[in-house]
Amino acid sequence: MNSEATIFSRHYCVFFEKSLTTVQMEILLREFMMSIGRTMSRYGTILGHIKLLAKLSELAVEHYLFLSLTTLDNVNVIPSKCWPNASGVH
Amino acid sequence: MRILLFGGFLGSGKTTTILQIAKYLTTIRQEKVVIIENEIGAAGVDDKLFANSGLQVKSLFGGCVCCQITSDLISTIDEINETMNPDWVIIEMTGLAYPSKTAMSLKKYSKVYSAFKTITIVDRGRWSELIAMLKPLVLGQITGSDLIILNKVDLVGEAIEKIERELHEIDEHMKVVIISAAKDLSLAVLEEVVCCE
Ligand SMILES: Nc1nc2c(ncn2[C@@H]2O[C@H](COP(=O)(O)OP(=O)(O)OP(=O)(O)O)[C@@H](O)[C@H]2O)c(=O)[nH]1
Ligand SMILES: [Mg+2]
Repeated sequence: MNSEATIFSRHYCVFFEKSLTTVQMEILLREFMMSIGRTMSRYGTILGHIKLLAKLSELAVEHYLFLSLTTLDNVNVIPSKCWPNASGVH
Repeated sequence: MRILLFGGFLGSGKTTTILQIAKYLTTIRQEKVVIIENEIGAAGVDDKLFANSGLQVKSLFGGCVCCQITSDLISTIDEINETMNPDWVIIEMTGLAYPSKTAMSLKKYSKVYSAFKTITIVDRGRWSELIAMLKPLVLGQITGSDLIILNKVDLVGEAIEKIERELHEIDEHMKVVIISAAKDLSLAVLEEVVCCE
């Protein structure tokens, strides 16, 4: 079973001519995830996990978006400010 | 040093759940936690999620077949024990691994832990589809776990009672907790998950 799995894992650095807002970036990334998901779903279910971590570089404070897809067209987006703080330091 | 080994299919909610467990252990119990992340693929995502949440994380990239990673896992646990001496090591297996197989090897060859628990996360939203298409893997991940976390109960999917019944057909004594890791877990659930001998 495991040997039939396909793994695709890459880093990309994407430059835009005009800077984009976080909201515009999120829309683009959602589209990107959905387009991959549509080719890989079976009866609406992704038999795996499509996930993406985007570092938005132009901001003064480091900011990430975590995108994840397990069911067709249902992209889940979590910005880094919503990740739990588990450092024990507040 | 106690070990929690988390398994469960790709995208079932392992990282989301572990983040909450780790947060509970570090902030409420004031205990030291180290995460071992066994991720598929070279461009790690989960290790960055853990690190950005302020957790110490060791990444083990590589194959997803349990037996290939076990020796690396044992040496990583030994190293963590010697150099960091945490109260807890939380391991996130890949979504294709069979956690109880890894648990068996660790119990056999690792001597540095005081308690050990294997936890498998099940995705309510995709239960029927995954059982229909990947039954041997899904059942293999569940079998032999000390605790099953039935996650994503906020999503539509198979009836929770039916999934519970099917889980108990696999093992009638199986302990099952029902959660939505996308929301704050209750203290009772957090304590149930970390309760181990
Ligand atoms: N609606 C909902 N979404 C959830 C829940 N738990 C996790 N998710 C989402 O499901 C997606 C996958 O969660 P992860 O925690 O990354 O799953 P994982 O098992 O660690 O995934 P892999 O490491 O890739 O196998 C993310 O978008 C989570 O936000 C839940 O209880 N409800
Ligand atoms: Mg994960």
